[in-house]
Amino acid sequence: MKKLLEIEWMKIRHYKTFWILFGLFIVAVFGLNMIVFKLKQAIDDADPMLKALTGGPFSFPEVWKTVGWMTGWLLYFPGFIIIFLVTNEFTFRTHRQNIIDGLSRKQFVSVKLVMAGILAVICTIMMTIASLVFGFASGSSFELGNLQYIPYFFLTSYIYMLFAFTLALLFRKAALSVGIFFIYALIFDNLLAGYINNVNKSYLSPLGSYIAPLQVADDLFPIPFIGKVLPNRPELWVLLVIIGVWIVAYQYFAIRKFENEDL
Amino acid sequence: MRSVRYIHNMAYVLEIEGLVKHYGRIQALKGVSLKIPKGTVYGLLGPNGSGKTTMLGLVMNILKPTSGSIKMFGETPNADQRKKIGTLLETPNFYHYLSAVQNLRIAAAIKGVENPDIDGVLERVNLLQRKDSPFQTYSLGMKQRLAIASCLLGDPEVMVFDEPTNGLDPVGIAEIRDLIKKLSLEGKTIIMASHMLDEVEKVCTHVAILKKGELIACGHVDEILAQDDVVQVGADDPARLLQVLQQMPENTGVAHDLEENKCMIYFAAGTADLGKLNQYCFEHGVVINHLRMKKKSLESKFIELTG
Repeated sequence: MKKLLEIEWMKIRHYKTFWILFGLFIVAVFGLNMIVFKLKQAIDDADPMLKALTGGPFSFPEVWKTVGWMTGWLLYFPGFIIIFLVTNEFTFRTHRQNIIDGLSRKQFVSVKLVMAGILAVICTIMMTIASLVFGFASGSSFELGNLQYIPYFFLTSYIYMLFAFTLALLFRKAALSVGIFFIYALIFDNLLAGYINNVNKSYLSPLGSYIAPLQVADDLFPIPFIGKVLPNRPELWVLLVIIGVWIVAYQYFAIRKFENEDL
Repeated sequence: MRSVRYIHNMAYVLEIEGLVKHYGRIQALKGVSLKIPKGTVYGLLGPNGSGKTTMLGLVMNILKPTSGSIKMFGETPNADQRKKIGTLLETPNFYHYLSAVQNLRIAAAIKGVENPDIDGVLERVNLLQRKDSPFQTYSLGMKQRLAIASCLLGDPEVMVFDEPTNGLDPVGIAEIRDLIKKLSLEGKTIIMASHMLDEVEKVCTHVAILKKGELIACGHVDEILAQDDVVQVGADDPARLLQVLQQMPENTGVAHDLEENKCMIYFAAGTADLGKLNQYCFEHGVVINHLRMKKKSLESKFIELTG
């Protein structure tokens, strides 16, 4: 695997689009959190009522949830990166050439799945650093608590990366995959989940809504500022099991598809 | 006389048995069986869409066969065997934003070639002076050369070239053909797909002819592409001339070209003797007013084989 990762590194080292998107992502993580952070400060200064209502989302240990939830909105960027890394191979037909030159089909697709994992780790590191920065900036002192949101953020990121990966593998074209990924993650995932919840209100809700691929990852992070937990959320271990099922399903699908079809 | 050269103690780099490939309802290959001996320059000849690339794609595991079997070096094909074969299939496939050197480093890493002689292979295809330019700035001919350079990495014993002279100018075509001949002299086995008969004839020792997914002939180039000598003969009375020509010994056929009002007589390759022909006609009462040696055009031969 080390050898395979070295080859991937040779591919992205001089790939400008990768570095630009990657740089934008880092700037955006701190930028977006900064905007909300400043907004909250302004609210606090303006109105004591509102200040009490919105609590202290940037103080430890709340900050992990807040920054995690907000950084979750930026997972489009690393998702785009994954899409480009995969669709490039199809566009340049290097997915064929890599196989012809001696990679096995399984090696080719596995290393890309590992790359998705590495990107998710990098996203998690960014979220961790941003949480620390804004936690301290809010004037609160560090306390242990809610640290489990770091691995939760990894799972959310990995689900997003795998979803992007699957779209790239299915559509093979960058523009199409990026468009579908963006629109779907922004709107249709919630629509689909909401629809499913409505049809079977009585029993499977909200479990049924986790057929929408991103819903379960989104539900790991409660919406900050408005209260504690989403009212209608199953127990945590159920969420984690479903996420596990999704991760296995994506990988199984990707490897099977790439191993069995004409390239 | 036909020269029949057999390679004894034959080892095959590739054995294909009953290979079938369907794309939906289209049958791209209809049960092709072929053995490619070590040390040959094996041409796969056929018009566009005859199944050459499909066949090589199946061998290289980028396409999945509908049925049939493939053996590489006597074994079921696997990724490690592909590392030992330099392959250019269909189009040069490289990362557009990387230079020639960067692209070849990736190819070498995949093939597991330690310390690849990148400058050396670029030199062999005349691309050294542009080695640091991005691939996307290359002309079609340069891309093709880079793909051939990539095949040479690690000095493999077997090379597969699919339409290697595609997109090259006449000088480039001659250079690549020379290169293939040199590689052949070094003892390499080369499998070359081409739709150009003269290319196969100039470069290859063996040939397999594909037509609409079927193998219609295979063997030594001299056998398959044997060419008759053709002599065009004219006289005041073509009908009489034709009668005389038909009786002449050693001919392999006669014809009447109505358009030019000339007769054609065929002999086995290299045996036509114009002096003898002239004398024979004269002795049989026909005075010849036109006598010209004509090789049967390669294209017409190709069309005859595949048409």
